[in-house]
Amino acid sequence: MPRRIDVEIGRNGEIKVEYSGFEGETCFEEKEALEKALKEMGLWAIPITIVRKTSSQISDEIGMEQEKRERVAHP
Amino acid sequence: MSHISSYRANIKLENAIERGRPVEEDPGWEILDQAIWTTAEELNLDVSHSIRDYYGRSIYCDWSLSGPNVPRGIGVNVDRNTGEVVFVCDSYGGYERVVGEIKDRIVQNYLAICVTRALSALNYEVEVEEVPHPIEGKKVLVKGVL
Repeated sequence: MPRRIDVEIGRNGEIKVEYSGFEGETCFEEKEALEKALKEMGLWAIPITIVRKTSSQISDEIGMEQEKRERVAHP
Repeated sequence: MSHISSYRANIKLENAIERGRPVEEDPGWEILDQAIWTTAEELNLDVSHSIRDYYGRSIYCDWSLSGPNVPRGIGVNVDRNTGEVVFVCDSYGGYERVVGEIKDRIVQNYLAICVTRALSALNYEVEVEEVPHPIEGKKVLVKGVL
């Protein structure tokens, strides 16, 4: 499953970042790397909430990916 | 495990200052310039270097944006000592709403440029989509796939 980061930028400095497809705690390492890269450009991202995905959300992601693969395999 | 984070972003161009360099050499300076010109294009505004107050006095700014809905203009300054980005305007007479919209759009465009560049720097394949939003004007969606 590919690793994916979806970022939604609202007005007035609101950012929502969704990490998908990361194994174990690696999404938190990627979060640190992203925050560091942003800081180097003068953007200080101050965390408001961090919500771990539920097992059903993760299963949905894996399921969606599985479905995509099957579609490719049997067009 | 994956997760969802939400942030409040603050723009502060202090990387160059910390290295003893002028703020104009900060990577954020060029990004701010780009965000301002993008905003001007989106909202059909002119970019210059001065605004006017209620009495018609001219005030110099690092950048200024003005147009028919905001004739006195909104200025953007970067504090040379702290790197803080400051928006200046004389909104007396009912310009608060439009000035707020311009400020929000500049910040939003700045964040979009930063996020896009940051994901690219982390080797993600990046796609950017702008979605019109009835209340917020637009939402920017940046997708990075590794």
